[in-house]
Amino acid sequence: MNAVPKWLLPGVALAALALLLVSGLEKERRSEGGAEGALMKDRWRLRITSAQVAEEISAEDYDQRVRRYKLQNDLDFDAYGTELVGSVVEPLIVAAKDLYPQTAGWAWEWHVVDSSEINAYCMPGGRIIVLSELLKNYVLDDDRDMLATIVAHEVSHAILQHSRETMGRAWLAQGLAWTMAKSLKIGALREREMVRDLKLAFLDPKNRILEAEADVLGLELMSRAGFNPAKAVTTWERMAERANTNTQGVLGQRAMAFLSDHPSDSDRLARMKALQPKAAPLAAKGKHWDWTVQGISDQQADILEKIAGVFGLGANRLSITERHEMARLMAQVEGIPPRQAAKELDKAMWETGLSQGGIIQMGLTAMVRGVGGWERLERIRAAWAKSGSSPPRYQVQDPSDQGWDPPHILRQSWDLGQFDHLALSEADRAAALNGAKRVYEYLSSYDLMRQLLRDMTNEIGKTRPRTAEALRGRYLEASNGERSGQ
Amino acid sequence: MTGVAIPFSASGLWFEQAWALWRRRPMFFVGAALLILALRWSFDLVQLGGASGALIFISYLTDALVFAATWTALSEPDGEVGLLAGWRLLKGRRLKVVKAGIWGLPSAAVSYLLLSLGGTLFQAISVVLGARIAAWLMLGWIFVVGWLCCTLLFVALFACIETVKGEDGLWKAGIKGMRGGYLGWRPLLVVWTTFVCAATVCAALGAGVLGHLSLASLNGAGRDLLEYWINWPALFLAVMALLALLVPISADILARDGSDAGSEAALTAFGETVALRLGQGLKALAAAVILSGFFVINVGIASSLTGALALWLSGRALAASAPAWGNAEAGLWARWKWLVFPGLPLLLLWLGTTQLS
Repeated sequence: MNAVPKWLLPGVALAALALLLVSGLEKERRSEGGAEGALMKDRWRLRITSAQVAEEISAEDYDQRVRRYKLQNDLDFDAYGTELVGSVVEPLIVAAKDLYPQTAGWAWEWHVVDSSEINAYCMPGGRIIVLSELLKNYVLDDDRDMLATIVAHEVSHAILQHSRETMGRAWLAQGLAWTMAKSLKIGALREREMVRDLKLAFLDPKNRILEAEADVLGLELMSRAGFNPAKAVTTWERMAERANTNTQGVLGQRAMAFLSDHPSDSDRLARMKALQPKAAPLAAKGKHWDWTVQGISDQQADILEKIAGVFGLGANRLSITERHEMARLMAQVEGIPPRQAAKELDKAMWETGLSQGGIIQMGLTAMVRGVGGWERLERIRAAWAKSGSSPPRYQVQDPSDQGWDPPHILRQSWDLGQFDHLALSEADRAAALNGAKRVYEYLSSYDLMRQLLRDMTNEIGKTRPRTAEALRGRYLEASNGERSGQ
Repeated sequence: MTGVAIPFSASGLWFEQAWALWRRRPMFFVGAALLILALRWSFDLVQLGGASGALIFISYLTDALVFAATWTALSEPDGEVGLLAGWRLLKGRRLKVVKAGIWGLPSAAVSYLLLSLGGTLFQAISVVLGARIAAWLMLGWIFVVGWLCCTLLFVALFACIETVKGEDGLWKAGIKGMRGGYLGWRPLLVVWTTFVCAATVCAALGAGVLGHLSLASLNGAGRDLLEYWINWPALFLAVMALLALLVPISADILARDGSDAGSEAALTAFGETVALRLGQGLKALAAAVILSGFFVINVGIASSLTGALALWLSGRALAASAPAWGNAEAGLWARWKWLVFPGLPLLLLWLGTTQLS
């Protein structure tokens, strides 16, 4: 044994540690043009967990969650919510791929889950879950910019691979606490508190830095995706109001920040406000949520607009708001002719529908997702055009009448059943049915109708406050009661 | 306080001697360390809910026996005596050694109390200085508390060794152990720092293994087992190092204590000083608890004032009982009545609060 030099053991351990540190040092690199206007700088990060293991662990967790949600019928339970989230997530994914090309290979997917918890996650590899309570009126109010703030924050965690940093540090702290407790029995009686203290002193300060990073990259990402960065301030203010009801004031916030792995609300808001001047130009140059995001031509966009009509997007949007009954109510309240009331309502609905976040665009997104891609959609459109019926108008058979199995798309006019005669392959036909079904679900979604009603009421309230009040009383408050009673 | 404080540099000599000792008898240390690990593991196996505290208490007693047997075996003038022989040589003193293991309880109590208070106290500090500075201070707090507990653990080991050497009185053995801890706090700080650094390196390596082992190659029960056992090699190394350091440290510290620790005068001086300082410490803690009542969000003013009053009364009573702690002839009541007197007004206060609420 004398031949063993005394430095051997510590030397080997230190060499292994050095190897671990060197191999764990990584930098998240941006695309070539991504540095311009960047709100945050890339930095070296120590990751003692491999990307593969982090993704495997989170994928396992994600799969378990999704399976559980499916069993409980909580997964993508509402078509409107799914399309709303989709219309926010898709441009953010495009912006993420532009900025960090390494995310192009991710298996991006997202779901909306029925839950009373206010939260959203994005796991490594681009698996996104939005909990439905987040979308409610008293939280984000179905506002796409505000939803983009939260989702972009979560996506930023995934892009910067924060879970790899936190996992490794958590194992390290736990191992250290365990060794101390087992060898010298330090903290053995309070092992849980020991781990908690190490977390407070060792893990949480770093996590607060990571949260701040996700805030900044999230702001940049949403701006580059064309969302309004000013809404990030509103969003975090609202989240602070929700979380901070019992601890108002700066001192309370400091105490909360120490116990939390998130930065204090005041720090977060100050940071968001300070970055606004830099974020605004990014948003101005940002790729707004239009079809150019998907790289299609103006001609293709025109086709899509027509297909929107084919699927009944426009017609349903107007009919579902019980237009005639509302016009009568307005005429009665304002003492104006019903025709004028109907005209004003139409105008308000039209402006609201487009300005409030692309109701139609969300429907189109649903359709594109339903048929499984742009190329297939164009083939279906071509078949329709070739069938000679102009303008073609189809709608999905009402599930309450016949059930969905087998699903049918009916011609709205006199040519019932013509769909089957279109020159479509079996796969394209199934896709067309699926797309139509998806759009139908979206259009008949309770939340969509309610959103339309609410937006339209707000719009009409700018010029006709009494009508707005009457509409709210008749439709919105009544529907609130119905919902709470469900 | 008599005796000359041992300098930091003594630790270097301890490490050299421990290394030489290990190289001379590696299998002996491997065996002794495995025995301690087996005891720890068996406690893990039988650990059930509330029984964990009792098992930790028992582990102080079993450790006392294993460390005493190790010391005896290594200190035999003939040398090359095994652990079993060391155990046999303890015959007639084993019960006394087990009793001396009770001196490990101050380490457990300090660790329990100070680690429980850490989160609350530093939340109060965070309000004044901000979360980042409070977190750094808390990291320092954990380190200092750990060092204090480590030193107190050595106090128990010293008490055991004194008992093996022939000290019959539990009280005197403990006082001698405490004097040893007091004299050797500087090099023990180096030992503690080395332990923390080595444990951090080992934990980082363990985290690295877990972080790079694909779930495809190991998952489910296998991975759970790995997560349970991954830190045991670090524990094995730590225990073996502690065993190897035991003889150099105890020999050095107990030999350097120049005073006659067994004399009445020395005992009075030391016991009194310890009780007085602990009393002051409890009063200082009372002030910190009042501070926490004002700044910590989940601690009410009423409960912080009650807690502070309890600590302050206990501290004052303990300081008042200091002479009894220095007097080997003093009875149990004289030493421990400080726990009873603050209890009465607090009981009344608690009853009053309960009635009011």
